[in-house]
Amino acid sequence: MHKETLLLEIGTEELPPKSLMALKNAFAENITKALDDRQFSHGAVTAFATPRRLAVCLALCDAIQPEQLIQRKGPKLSAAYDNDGQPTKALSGFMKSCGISDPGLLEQEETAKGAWVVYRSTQAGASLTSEIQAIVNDATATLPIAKRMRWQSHRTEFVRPVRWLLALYGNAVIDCQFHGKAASATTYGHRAMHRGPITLSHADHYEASLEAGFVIASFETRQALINDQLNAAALAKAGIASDDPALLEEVTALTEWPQVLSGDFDPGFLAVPEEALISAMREHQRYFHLRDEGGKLQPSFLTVANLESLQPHQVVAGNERVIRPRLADAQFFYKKDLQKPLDTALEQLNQVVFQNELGSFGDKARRISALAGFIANSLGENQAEAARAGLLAKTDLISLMVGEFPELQGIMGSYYAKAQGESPSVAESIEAHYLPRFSGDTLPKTMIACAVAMADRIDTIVGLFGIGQPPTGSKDPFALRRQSLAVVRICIEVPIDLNLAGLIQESARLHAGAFSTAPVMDYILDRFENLLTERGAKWDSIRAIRAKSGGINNLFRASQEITSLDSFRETEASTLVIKAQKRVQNILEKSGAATAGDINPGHFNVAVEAQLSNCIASIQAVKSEPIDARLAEVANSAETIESYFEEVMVMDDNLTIRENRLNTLRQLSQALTAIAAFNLLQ
Amino acid sequence: MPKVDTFQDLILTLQQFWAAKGCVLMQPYDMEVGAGTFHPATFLRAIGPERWSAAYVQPCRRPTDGRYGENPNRYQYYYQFQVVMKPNPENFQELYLESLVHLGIDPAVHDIRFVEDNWESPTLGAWGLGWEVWMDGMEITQFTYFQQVAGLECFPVMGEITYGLERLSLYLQGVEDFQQLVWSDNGQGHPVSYADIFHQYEVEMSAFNFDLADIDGLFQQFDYFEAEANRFLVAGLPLPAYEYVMKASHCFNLLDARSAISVTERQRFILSVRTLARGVGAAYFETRRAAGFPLASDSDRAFVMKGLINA
Repeated sequence: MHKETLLLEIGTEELPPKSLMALKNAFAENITKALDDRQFSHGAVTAFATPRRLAVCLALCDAIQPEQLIQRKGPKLSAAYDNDGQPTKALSGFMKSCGISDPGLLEQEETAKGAWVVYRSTQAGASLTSEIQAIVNDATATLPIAKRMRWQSHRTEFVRPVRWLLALYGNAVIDCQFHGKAASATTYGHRAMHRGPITLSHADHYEASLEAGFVIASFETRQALINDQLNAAALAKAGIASDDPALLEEVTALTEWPQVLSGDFDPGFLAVPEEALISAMREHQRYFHLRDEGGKLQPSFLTVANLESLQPHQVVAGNERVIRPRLADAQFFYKKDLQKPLDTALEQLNQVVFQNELGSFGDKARRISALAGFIANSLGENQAEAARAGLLAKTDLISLMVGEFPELQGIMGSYYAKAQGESPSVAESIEAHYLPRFSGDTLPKTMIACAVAMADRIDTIVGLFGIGQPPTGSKDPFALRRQSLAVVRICIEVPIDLNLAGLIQESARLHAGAFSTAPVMDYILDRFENLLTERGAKWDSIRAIRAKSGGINNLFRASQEITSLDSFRETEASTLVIKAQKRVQNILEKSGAATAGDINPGHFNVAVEAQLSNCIASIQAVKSEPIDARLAEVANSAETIESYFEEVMVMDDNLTIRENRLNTLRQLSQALTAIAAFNLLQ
Repeated sequence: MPKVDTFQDLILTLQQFWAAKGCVLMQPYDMEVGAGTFHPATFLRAIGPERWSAAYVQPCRRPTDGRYGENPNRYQYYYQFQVVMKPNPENFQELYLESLVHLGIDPAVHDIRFVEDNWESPTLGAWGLGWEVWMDGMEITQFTYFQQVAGLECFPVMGEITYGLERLSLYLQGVEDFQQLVWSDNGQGHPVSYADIFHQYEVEMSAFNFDLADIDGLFQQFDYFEAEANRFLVAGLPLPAYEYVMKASHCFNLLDARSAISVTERQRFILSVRTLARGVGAAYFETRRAAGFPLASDSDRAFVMKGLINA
């Protein structure tokens, strides 16, 4: 079998760097799959990507598919031959369409619906040459392109304008086209370092030929090279380069011939908070920053150029010229922000609308403050500190620095509060109240910060539910789902022992809204349920605690109850209790009247009745104890409950006795449901 | 190669270069705009199937970018050189690089890169894909293929190149600060600098933008301009309507500089301007269709006339 290297390269204008790796992988996988689907076997697959090209190289690729087995289904056997055993018109037509005249070449196939005539033959495999266009089409149709574009007067779309197509099979061009570009053996090197086309004489020469044209085609090779250069350049500056895999990937996707260069900036800028300097360097310039051994930010940067310049000092000078105004901007923002008293900032928050119906950020700040104070008070923490931190939490939103670098919200507020003499706890809370920012992020460390974090989120959630804008499956513009999850995590992981239902009511009061808060609690409880389920709690245990009488109002305690209930369910007693409670519910549902009257011992006539009555009393006696103690009491009663159903006929003919027994069950049910809705357990 | 020693040399050279590539040399629009894109020679000409290539200087006002003349390369009033070609030529990137060489920039010395920067103007209902062009880390140009303008699909695609003239000049003149740029020098000993012309303006306008512009008055003006634009649209006059959209948009930018518009309010204002811009775009498209799209190629005109897009 003839085998050669297959090479495909799509030449484009500069591809989006953050999706280059995904495009590279998908292109290689899709080409591989398209070949596999067509049974062209091949050897190793190598993917390449630079800003101006996606390529894939497959070693030892078949020139021709294996022989294909063709099966065609003809008429039903019963309709294939006439009484004389001669082919009917239907069969003759079928044979004609198969290109045969001898019925002896036909076979039969038995199916559940009867027997059919089939014709089986083999067909020579298609050539790669004839299939390559379909392979390219299939492979490129499903690339992960977030935004497709058109160019010139073309009606077709791709990730960026297509400029050439290189397709080689061994040493020959394999005909196909892509977005109007016919395949050739020609590619292009570095825009500045190599003028003119590069023509390959063989697919195997791809990497080497491009390297001679100052393009390192392999993403991974370039990435490793940049990493080495970064470390060397940092060493030369006696510093350590920032370890930033996302930035490394991005700069790899922005270069074909990477060259790390280092530059310096005025150490005077180091007086600006380092987060702002780093943001300016990273977000605007894709620079890596440097620290000394002690972790102190150095007045230098590393940049990755896409050129081995004839005069590298000019590139360095250019970059230094760019970063200076960027840092000067940060310094300008910082100075100007520091000049603004926090009271003025608070005043200005009044002019910034948070949400049309929910007022300004000034209004929100006052609500957060009141709510954070309320939380601190419930937790026995410093109410004044929490209220102050809550009031100041959003002041940096009107700062120039946060206007420029939104990712610094909270961080700058903390700096500005400290500079104006606020307590360390207040300053720290302004930054930490944004935690957790995403799933898996860290949580605020102090109770004051937790109070502000909770207050901010509850205020938003309650407010939006209050104005009739709860999130829907597809729409959640205020990210209430994420905010609710943050509330849940803070409650159960920090943890904070807080009546959440009460907090929500207080928030509704502050919003001065006349609306039911039950949907808010339900929404948060749904997040709570999802989170605990993800973490391995039994789904029905959560439901049983949610459905206990009075429901959940304290997430931390509820999470402990769910854990305890999960453990209780490992015991044998639990089986008896669950079974009994289901029975009780069945009986009570049929019996009508809901409220439990007193149990009258005078109407007992079986010993176990008194025993069960005692059990109920003991379960009720520990109702203020932790759940483990209450479950222990339930476990102790399990056998008595079991015996009761064996020995007692609840629906006695004597209506007085019957009612007394129903009351016993009602009391039992109430005592159990105060702990958990055991009947919901599977 | 031409001599590009001064700011005005740069303008003249770019004009010569792009005129030779077939661009109509236009003049700046005489209204406050935030970018050369607002000029009808870009915004309106991007709509519909008609061919169009133009180049022009456009002074831009971005009130929030004022730094009282203290930042070396950020001003609230600065110059763009805008090139649009529709449909974009296949070698549009190469033409641009050629223009840099024409200005005396050696691509073997300077690190010139196309870095993804997709353009979106929510107020114009417009977006495109493209890059900011970096030279040694400095953004000197925006390069965009328009995909949609005023909510209408762009067909054929207009390619747009926007040079930041001051930033380019920093390189060409080897200075560090806009203020040091030489605007003109006839060799007779009286060069005029950028600072000579604009420093006082930057200082005063920064104070105006950040501290003094009248918030209540601007809100009222915004409402007035919006109402007027709508009135002109009803009257079937997209061009005057568009001028009032530009006025409203500038009010919005000033209010933004005064921190008078919150994140959520911003959405409402953007939506107002976008609604107007869409109205203008639709009306302009209709007036050009009624005229038979005189500048379109036969095939593009036929395609659009059949109502296959933007019907």
